[in-house]
Amino acid sequence: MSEPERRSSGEVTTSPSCAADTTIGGDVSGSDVTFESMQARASEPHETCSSQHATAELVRGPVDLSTKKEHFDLDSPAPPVTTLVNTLGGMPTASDQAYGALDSHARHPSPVRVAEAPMPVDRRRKIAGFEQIARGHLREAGAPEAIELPVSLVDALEKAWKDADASQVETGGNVVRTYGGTYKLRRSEGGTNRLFEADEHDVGWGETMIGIAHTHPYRKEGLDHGTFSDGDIVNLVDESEPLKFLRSGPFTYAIARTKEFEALVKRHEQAQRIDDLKKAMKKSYNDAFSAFHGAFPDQLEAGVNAICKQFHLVYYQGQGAELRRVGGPSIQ
Amino acid sequence: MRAVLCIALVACSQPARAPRAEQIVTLDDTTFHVRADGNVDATVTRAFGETRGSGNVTLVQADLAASRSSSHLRLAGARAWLGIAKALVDTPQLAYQVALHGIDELGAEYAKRGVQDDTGIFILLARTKIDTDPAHAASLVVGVLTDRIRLYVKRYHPHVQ
Repeated sequence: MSEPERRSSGEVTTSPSCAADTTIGGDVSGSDVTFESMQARASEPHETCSSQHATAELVRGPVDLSTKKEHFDLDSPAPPVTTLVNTLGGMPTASDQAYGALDSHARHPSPVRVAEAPMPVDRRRKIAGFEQIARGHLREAGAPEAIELPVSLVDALEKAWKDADASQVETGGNVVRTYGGTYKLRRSEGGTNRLFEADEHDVGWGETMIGIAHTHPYRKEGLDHGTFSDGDIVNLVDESEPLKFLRSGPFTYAIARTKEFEALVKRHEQAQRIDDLKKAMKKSYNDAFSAFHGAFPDQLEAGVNAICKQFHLVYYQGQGAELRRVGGPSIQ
Repeated sequence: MRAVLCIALVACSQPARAPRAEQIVTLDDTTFHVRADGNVDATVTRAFGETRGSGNVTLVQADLAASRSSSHLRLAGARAWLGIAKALVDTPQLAYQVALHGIDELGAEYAKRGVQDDTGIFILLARTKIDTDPAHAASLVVGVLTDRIRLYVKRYHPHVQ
């Protein structure tokens, strides 16, 4: 049977041993289920898998683990075409590439996918929120309340953090969007225990720079985490990328530029008063730090909140993939 | 043809510059050593109580007039403060203050674009520790000053050394 025929009929040819190995886990209706073993089987030569045919059916509901048959129902109104193409080793979609398996717990996304339950609206909104701020031109009032980072980026930040925590040297690199719409962290050297020197020119062909990411490993100073420093934020004046990322302890932080911030910088540039703007930003941070009485990391938080609020930057914080906006729109 | 070539070579070559005479000029707390190679070494002296220190900066391809008003003299000043701070290691409260003088003198424009400069956090951290652990606080700000001087040289290379 030729490859297109196999796809249109939804039949998967398996050998007895293949079928015996098949395991199906989880509730297909609630999330995506991937079948890596099926992917491997689909790429096998036809001769080796021609002894038996198993019909497959898209099941909406719990899967009976006792059965060794895989079923596809081509009459299902769900996404049969893309599902089957992906199932049989087709190219992953841009969405797949950007977010891997839609299940946030799936760390190793596979192009093999059987059922694609509709993504919750809330989650879709957070993913779109990240896309929105990653592409810049954000208005402060329209900044999303919550964003979801791509799995690839979460994993890269986790790795960078582990390296930094082990060495107590800041790590990081450039977060870029590839031509295919995926996001990745291009790690570079250049950290010490007090700063990270990013190589802004380290952007590959077809990639777009989204922002610099770095880490704050300050365990030696008795700090298990700490948000952006004043220098991290003040140098946004000189930078042009829409986002800045930071990982420290279990927390991931991000700051997004806004159109209002861009206008502020432009006004000061035209008046040749950029230094005044930087001084004012620094003062805002340090004043809020000093005024807040609490633990050191909380004082840093107060500084970041103040500077972001006053200078039209949007501040996100969270753990894992989901970050929530901290503070509200500027009151000025 | 040869004549044309000679004229072209003469026209394209830079005018021969006679090596300038070396000279040493002292103005207030700064001594300028104008070198024959076109560079100027400026040495700045700073004092904190009884302790004095000096810092140096080499201004590449500069003359005396430009050197006297060069903003890079702040690098020499910061280096002088760093030297004093290190000399006062046994009195950490003083070393802390001296290092802050150096940080002030170096100013805010020391890092090039792209540097994620977290030294500010360590100044704040030192401030919280100066009463309880002055030696640690002093070592933090001395480290910050050292980092910032290094970043300054990197940012303004090759104009300063």
